[in-house]
Amino acid sequence: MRTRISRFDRRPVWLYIVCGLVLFFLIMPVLIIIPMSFGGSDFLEFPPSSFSLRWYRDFFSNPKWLNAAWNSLRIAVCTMVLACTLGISAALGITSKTMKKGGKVFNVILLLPMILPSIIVAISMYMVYGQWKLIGTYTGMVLAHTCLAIPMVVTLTAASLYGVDSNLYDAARSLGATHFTAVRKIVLPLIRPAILTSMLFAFVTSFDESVVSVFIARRNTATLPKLMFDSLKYEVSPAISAISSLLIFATLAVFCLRFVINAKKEAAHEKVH
Amino acid sequence: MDAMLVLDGLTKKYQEVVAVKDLSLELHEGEFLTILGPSGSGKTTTLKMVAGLETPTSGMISVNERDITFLPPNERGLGMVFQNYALFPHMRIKDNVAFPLHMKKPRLPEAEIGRMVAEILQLVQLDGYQDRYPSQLSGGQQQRVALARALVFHPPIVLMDEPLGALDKKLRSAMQLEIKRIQQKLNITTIYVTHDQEEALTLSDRIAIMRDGEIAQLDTAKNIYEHPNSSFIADFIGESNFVPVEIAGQEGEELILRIKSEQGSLIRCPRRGAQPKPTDDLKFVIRPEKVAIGRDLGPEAKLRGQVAQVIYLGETVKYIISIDGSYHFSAKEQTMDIRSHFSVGDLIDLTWNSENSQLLS
Repeated sequence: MRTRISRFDRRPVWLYIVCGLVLFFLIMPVLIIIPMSFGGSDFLEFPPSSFSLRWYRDFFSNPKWLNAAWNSLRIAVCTMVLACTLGISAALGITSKTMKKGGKVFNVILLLPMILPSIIVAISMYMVYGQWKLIGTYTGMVLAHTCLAIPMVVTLTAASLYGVDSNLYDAARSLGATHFTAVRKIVLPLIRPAILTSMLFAFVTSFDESVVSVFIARRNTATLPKLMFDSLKYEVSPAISAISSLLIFATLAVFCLRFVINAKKEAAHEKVH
Repeated sequence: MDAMLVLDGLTKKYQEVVAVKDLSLELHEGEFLTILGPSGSGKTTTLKMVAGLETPTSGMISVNERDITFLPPNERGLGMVFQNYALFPHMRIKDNVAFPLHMKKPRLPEAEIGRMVAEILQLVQLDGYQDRYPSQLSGGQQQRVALARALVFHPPIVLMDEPLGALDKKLRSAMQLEIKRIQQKLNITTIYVTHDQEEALTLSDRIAIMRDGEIAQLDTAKNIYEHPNSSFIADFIGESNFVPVEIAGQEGEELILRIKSEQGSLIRCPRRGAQPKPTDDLKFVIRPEKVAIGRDLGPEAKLRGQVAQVIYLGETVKYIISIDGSYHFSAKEQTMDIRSHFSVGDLIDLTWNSENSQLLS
């Protein structure tokens, strides 16, 4: 048995090279910004000629940047809550037995913000939100980001819901549970991993969002990506690389948290078995 | 005794397809009724309508004279056991079994719930498994949990949808006895859906055989086996010989039938019920184990034939006998009393008690 596996295990060298190149092009441009952010000169350079933390100091002492970071966080959390509530409800509807054909149509409509080019979504939102006086408001930002995050949440949770045996819901109903109780006690716990992942992606979708934010955010509601965009218009300062690095770390941290939670849960499950 | 559960003219249509057609039946307290039928016959749909998981297109369902036709499943208070057990994978056994008790309003005290769970787990012989998860149990054990969960809240009626379908044959017969034991001990009114005729015969007080959304026959196991009312039933339950015949005449209470073959041998058959129309596609029906064979049976002989095949089945030996050179008749003999062993090509006489034979269309 062991020999047979190892025979398939020996993969051709070119496969390693291709994979290596793909990974390199995926990660390299992002990683290069991290050493650049620790540079001491007034210009962006790679490799950095001197080492300093001045750009980080810059960020943490500038109320404009700190305010943007706080905005980003607030809006991302609100988006996460709203998008998950709406998105999971929509996924429950789409996957329900009573919605055979309608579900598919509905699903496509919900995916539109993800399918359409983001610049088009941004321009349309700018037009409509302008009419509704939502430009430059927190409500506007959260609504816009929620629209962008919902497709992610719906796709992730619907995929997981299709995997839940509908007999479990029926069983709960026949044992005396109302529709709401059956969903809360049986269906939602069973798709918990998908819910956690959707929360994470909804958060990151908002936290990273730049195109729509550039259009509908104003000075007081500016998020980090929006402020970075604005400041890039005037200068390419190493401060941007420091902020980018911080964003990378923050995003990575959130994902790592997810993995740690997962690993812990698996370990707990193992113990039971 | 009044009927506990009444289905009256129950019909379910899916767009153009009629899954259940004008189905009516009554169930008495403590009765074990099996709905038996091939797949697609509407048996599961019927059960789901009783459970409230499907809404009937027309008709009425009532329990103890209360109309429950359009009541949501959670307000019906019926227990249901699902084909694939449908245990909640994220809950321990005790929480699975306690689930219906937690749903009760007003809320039951925890101590009471614990006592009821322990009691029912003992009844299904699963005490000691309270803290496990469903995935840690074998198929048979999971089935017991599903049973316990459906019984723990003392529902007036328990519905079972092919509960033993996923188990192997040995385990299935053990569980059949187990279900029967529990059902009788608690005197639970039960509707049991299966496509396994042996299971139906083992468990049921009465069997309803469904075909194309309708009840083809509803009777005790014995009556269905001994007196099937159509060749579909005779074929579906057990094994039967079907010989195409036409009516050649009548003698008192007996019909004279001519086999539709070149030689056209004659058979006698008792007349039961209405006179069959001569135009009908008539078949003379008898079960193989009711046919006795021997050499030169004299006046006892009802047919002559030639052994075409001998099949040894362990408990029995099956002879395939060619009649008139065109029809094959099978006869089964217990291996215990094989005194005369016949071989292929032997000419033999066939006989039977005419009470066991029937003319069906």
